Amino acid sequence: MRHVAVLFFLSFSTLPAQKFYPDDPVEFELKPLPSADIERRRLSDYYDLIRHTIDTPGDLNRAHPKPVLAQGVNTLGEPLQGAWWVKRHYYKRMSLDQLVDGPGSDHAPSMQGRWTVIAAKTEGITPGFVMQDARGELYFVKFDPLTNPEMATGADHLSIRLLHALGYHVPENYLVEFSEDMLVLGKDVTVADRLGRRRAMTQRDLAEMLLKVAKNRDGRYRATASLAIRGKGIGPYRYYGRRRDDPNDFVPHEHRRDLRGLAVVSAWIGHDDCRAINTYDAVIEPNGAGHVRHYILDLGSTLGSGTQRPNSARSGGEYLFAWKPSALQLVTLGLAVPSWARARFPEIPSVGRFEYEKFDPGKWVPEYPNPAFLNRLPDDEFWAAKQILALRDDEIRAIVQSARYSDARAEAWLVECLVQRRDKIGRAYFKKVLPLDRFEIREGKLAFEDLSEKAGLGAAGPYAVQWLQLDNATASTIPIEGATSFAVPARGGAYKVARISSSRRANQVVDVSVRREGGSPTVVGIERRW
Amino acid sequence: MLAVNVGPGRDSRFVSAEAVFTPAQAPGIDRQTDFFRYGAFGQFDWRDDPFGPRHGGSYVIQYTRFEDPRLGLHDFNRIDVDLQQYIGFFNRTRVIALRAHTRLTDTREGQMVPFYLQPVVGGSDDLRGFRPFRFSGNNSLVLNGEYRWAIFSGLDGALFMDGGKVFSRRGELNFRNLEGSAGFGLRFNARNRTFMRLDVGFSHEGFEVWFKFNDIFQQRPLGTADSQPIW
Repeated sequence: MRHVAVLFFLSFSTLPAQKFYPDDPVEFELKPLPSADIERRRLSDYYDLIRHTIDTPGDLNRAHPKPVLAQGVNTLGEPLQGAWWVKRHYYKRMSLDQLVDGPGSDHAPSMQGRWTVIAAKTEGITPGFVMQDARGELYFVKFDPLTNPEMATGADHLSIRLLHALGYHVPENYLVEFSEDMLVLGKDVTVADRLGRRRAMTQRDLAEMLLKVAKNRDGRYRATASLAIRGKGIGPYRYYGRRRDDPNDFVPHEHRRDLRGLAVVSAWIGHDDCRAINTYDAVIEPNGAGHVRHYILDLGSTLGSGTQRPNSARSGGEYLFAWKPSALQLVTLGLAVPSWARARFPEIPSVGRFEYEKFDPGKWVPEYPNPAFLNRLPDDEFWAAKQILALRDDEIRAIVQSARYSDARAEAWLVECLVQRRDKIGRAYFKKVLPLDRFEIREGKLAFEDLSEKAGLGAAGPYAVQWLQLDNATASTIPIEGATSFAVPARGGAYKVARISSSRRANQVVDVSVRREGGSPTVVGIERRW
Repeated sequence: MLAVNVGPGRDSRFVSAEAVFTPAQAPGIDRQTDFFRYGAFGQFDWRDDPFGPRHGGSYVIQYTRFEDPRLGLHDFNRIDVDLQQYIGFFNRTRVIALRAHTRLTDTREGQMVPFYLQPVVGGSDDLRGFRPFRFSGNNSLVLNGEYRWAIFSGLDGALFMDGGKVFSRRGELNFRNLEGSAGFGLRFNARNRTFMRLDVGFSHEGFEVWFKFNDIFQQRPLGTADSQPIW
């Protein structure tokens, strides 16, 4: 390790400082260093809650006079593809089938033969078990509560697919329906009683567990079967700091764009349970070199579901505890009614509490403070919003239909909520920065899309441009006189910057850096200011 | 079978009750007996969550027959009526909780309700501005009203008013001559269940502070083999 550090030092010391390097923009993370020796770590749910509520950890932007911009991004402002995130729907349009399949469709549990229960959780609020199908694949099986059939399984199914379309790593989850006689109890399976004492599990335990979960009209059980993630599980990741035993984890999580942007995604799908305990790191070993991949899981508490009951009306509106709102409620005896408490939720048991009228993406919060979410800046929000807005109504509808709700109202309401919330996100975050993207040089001109206009939310233009000559060694710029059209000027050296502004958006600027390589200029950098 | 144990007190710091009260004042204080008890109840319950209700209602009527086979002095009937109504609003973040509870006893001539089975009023679960067992008689009526609001996810505030009385004849079952108390409290919740509460009740006799590990209107399970009836 010491040798590696010295090598890095020598390498950096010999490189000249410059704004762009020949290989910019970089698409992928560096080839990962082997990290197969990382040990599994555990995290206390309650400790995490109290720690984040009392004294939120991490390098928070609010402690800096000038906020820290997102890291782990290339010169175009895109996160590097790899262990955390990969480019998907926004960057290369996925088909409806691909969107519906999500992380996979080839490993559904085999319905041939019986499922062997090898571990179970019969106590607590979320009964479930681990089973092995006839092919030997492992699955975590989770159910709906008696009061809300299809709610948690539907939410999990949909959110997995939406997060997948947005580029995050998620497990392969399948909606399954099975009868009790599919199950056979494996050898030496134990369960914990109410006092936490382990004892051998019996067929009666299994039957009693199934009494606590919802059943279809045909007598079968609907459940989520989550394929065990390949590789060695090493516990959850946190939304701050780095994992010190992972040599590839060198960007503080609270400064990662993909995790900052997840705040916007979480708001969209109502993932107020977005915290470390619902993440999972696994050491995967392609080509024998183990490295960590980071997953988001346990999405049953989204889209109005609280897994075992409809989510609280407070969900997304307020933290579980915060000083100011609590003091306000205490002092006013509850007469100061928060906006979220006035939300109207239709009585649809398979949806829970999900709505769009009171939804305010800028004010949405998870259950307790999340350092990465707190650090998000307008360009992080824009990055997430542009991906969400890329999902069209028919694509959202196709995904929602795949959850196979027996109540047609559930499907219609979820589609309406997701579409309306998506548009609110567009209206909120396309206003904070100039909503321009997909820059390219076409026929000698700088071309781009106004994402707000494209989404039908109104254009921010007309846009003006001023070309600047860029000294790549010093990053200093000089205006190129008379270069105020989108045509790339011939003058000004190899690097130029198009500074785009709008008279309707004071202080909002996008700097697009262009490099002329041989005869064809290409876009190598995007910087947004607000 | 209800086994009771009544006898002289053993703590020398206090005067034993039978030295202060006569059997006429406190029936059953001088002789110990056991009871054979049976009864029936009916309940209609549409509360949204019986362990932390924020909407709906629970209406219970229970008849209990107490027979004193040993002494033959304390046979009586008891009727309990407990009506609870919860009106949740603003997505059930605010709740008006109402309860009316009456206990009526009935004896034949020559029979008496023993003092330890007489309805009592006063204390943490009914008239919170009075000390425990402040009022006792053959019949009782208690009315409670609470306004509860969410302060944060694990804590509700409460403002309450209580009214109640004991009375000797069932014809006095009305809203006249009620003792009153009012106060405020805090309800600590986990998973929508109150596990601890702090109530401060005020009355013309002073104030009382209650620190309890139950819900104010909590009922014991009905009709189960391993538990007593609700009262």
